[in-house]
Amino acid sequence: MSATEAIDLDFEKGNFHYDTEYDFDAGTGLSEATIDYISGVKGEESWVRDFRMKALQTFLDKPMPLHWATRDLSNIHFDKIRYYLSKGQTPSRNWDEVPDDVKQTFERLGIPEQERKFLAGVEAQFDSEAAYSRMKDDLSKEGVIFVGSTEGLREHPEIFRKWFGKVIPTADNKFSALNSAVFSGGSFIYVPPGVKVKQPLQAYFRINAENFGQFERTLIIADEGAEVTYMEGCTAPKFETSTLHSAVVELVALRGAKIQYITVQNWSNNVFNLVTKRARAEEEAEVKWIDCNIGSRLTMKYPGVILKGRKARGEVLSIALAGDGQHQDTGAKMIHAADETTSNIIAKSISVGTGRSSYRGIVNVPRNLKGCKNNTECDALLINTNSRTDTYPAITVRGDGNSVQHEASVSKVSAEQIFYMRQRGLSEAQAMSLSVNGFVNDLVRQFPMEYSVELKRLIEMEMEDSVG
Amino acid sequence: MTKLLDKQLDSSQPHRRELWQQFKKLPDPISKDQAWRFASTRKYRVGDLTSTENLSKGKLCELSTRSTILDAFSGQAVLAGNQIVGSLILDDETAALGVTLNSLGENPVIESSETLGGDKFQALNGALSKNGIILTVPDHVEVKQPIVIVHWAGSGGSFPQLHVEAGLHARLHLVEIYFSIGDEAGFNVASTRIRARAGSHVSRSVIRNWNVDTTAVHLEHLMVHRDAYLQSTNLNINGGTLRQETVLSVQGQGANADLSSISIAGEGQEFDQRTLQSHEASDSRSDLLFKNALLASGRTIFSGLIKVAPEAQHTDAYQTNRNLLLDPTADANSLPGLEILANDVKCSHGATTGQIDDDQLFYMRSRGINDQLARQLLVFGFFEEVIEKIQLPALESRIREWIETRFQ
Repeated sequence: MSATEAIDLDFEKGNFHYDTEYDFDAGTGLSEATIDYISGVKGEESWVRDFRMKALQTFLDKPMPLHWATRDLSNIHFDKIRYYLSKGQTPSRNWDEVPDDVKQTFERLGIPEQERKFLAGVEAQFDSEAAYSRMKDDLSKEGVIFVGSTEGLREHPEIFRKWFGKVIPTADNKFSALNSAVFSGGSFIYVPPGVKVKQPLQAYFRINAENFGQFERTLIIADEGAEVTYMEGCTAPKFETSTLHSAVVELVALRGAKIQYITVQNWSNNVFNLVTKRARAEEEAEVKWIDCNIGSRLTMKYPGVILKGRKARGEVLSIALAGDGQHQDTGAKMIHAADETTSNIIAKSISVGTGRSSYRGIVNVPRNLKGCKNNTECDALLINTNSRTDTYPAITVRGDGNSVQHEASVSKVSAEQIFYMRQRGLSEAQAMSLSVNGFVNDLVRQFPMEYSVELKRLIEMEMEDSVG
Repeated sequence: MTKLLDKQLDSSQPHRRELWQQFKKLPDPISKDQAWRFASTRKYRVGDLTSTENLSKGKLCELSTRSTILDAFSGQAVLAGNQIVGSLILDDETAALGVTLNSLGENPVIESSETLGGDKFQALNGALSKNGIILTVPDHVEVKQPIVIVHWAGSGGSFPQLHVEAGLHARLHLVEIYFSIGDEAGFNVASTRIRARAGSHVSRSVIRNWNVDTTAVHLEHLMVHRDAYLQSTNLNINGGTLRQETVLSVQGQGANADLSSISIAGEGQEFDQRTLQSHEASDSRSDLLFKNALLASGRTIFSGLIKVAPEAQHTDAYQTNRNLLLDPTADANSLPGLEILANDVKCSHGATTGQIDDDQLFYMRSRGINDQLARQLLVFGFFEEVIEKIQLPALESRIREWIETRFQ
């Protein structure tokens, strides 16, 4: 336990911001001029600019998915958002070169400390662009590439262009189109064949400015037999007006590769967090999404795996905690597209106060496949009488020898358990928090140690105000 | 269709005209609509349909004899298309208890209620229904034998209605049977409303055994009051394209409902079942078990939602969907859902899709049962859990016979 003390995050730790002077600002609202500006300051090739322009049109053409999603989406005012803010497009490699106000932000969040402790590489994104990006030297010698999206497309087009926008097409949904139009920042990672990156790579995303929209774009390619773990954390200060975070994350696991992608999202609860995440797993590859949603006003995120090669495996482990006024609309998609592919989804959600958590999922096994298996478990815990939970899975199975099972349950913390603990001298809040931690414990154990400790503390803090 | 029916509709029935306008105004279902997701919505386009025409006396006589499914019953109504066959029967003992079984003639009950996407068809049923059946059981009356409603679908549209009211502490067993007269393509838009008053006990079995060219939409509303028990079993044995919407409204404290179903979908067949278990009162319970067996290129859709209102504390609500794929070309879709707004509840759903268990098959083969028979036995075993809920042995054995003909 002692090793983890240094990075225990305070729940309020992200709630501060500095007045920052931006050198580059695309202004408010979205038009072709915004895209010209972004593309211009980044010095992008014409195909990237064309890609953005096309995406803008798709974004404008697509309606809001209000026929199934929450009405809260109509509270996003696209014309009031600032689409690009930065102090420059080249991240510093040395912590001392990072501008002071940006450095202060990340130091308060404990970023360089964490890097020294256990990370193989780290990238810190401040609003639109990475402020700091560094990877251990031995990894670059092995050919691992870990850069921002701007740099990735500029310096390594031969690697990234092939997969860019291929796992998640621009027109996948309205928000993936928006991201494709105005993306900036995010990580581009390439791990060469057979290279196993032992320590995790990490990115930290920070929104600092009011009314700002963050649209990072991440693409991770694990070549044949490669292995990599990537972790991302997100925070933002609390502003009066809402903020939009709409990322696109694409993972490509080539034959026999393994990718693990861990997210701990703790946006302040005025952030609309609308993220598209999808992976493509080739033969015998394995992709695991570990997704933890604690913050934001509304999160809509359904990490998916397209199981493209024989014996590929996809997994989503998801924890959502919806506090007062929050809506965590999360889930998973498993698209089986080859024989003997397997997938597993375990989702646990906790609704506190007026919080609402929803599970939405797709499992699809088409008719020409054999021997595919899926297991889905969704468990929801309701803490207060006004808490709410929903489950909306969609399962389609055809083909030969395929089997799918889905189970969901809803419960509350049992009165006997609380009584038992109170009898032994625990306060009601402590007892409640212990029960809730017990509920998610089997999932939390699968998180890296540092994250599981942080998560437990966050849950404890949420629980403190929820009883009595 | 529209012109002809515009004329047919009597101007003395403004309600019907209004519903007819509503029907024409409402858009055709599209599968992009969540309520119709996965469905082959094109098959529900009404097109050039006319109401089923009246049948000859000889034909009616023939249907009347074909309608004897159970030897013992307390009452029976037989309909063909939109016409009553013979007369409504209620035995003397039952009639003496005050039970009534009547036809609504030209005046259907027009009451719009919550649908699960089929509002266009609700309007159509209300506009065109004739000779709907209304059954009432007075308070504290127990109907000894089942009441049987048989409906024969001919070519063209039939729009049957059935309204059942079980009084306080009444007991009733209701059997609804839907057949095709011959091989004609029928279009059946039916509505069933059942109200189980406080403390009543209503058991209902619905058998749908049409020809494969039949398209049908059946809208069911089941209302269960305080401490009442309702059991509803749907057996979709044969048909073409079927949509069944079941809205269970658990309105009283301590109410209890069991919904179950079997569907057998083969080539060219699509059985689309949408259910809502809506809990509006505390301490209530509902349990749903829908089982589908899918043969070559058969399609099934199960979309179920459990909704628990904030005041419905101590609700126990369960939902299970089991799909047995008997052929690689079959297509099973499940959309099990939960919307829970109260916290002190026990709710769960489960959906599984799989094949016949190889171990079970091996066990039977090793005891000398041939492969085909072993598979059949396992499939019949899969159905038995639902069939035995009916608790009318005579009807159960008829159902087993009908099911067996699907596997020959």
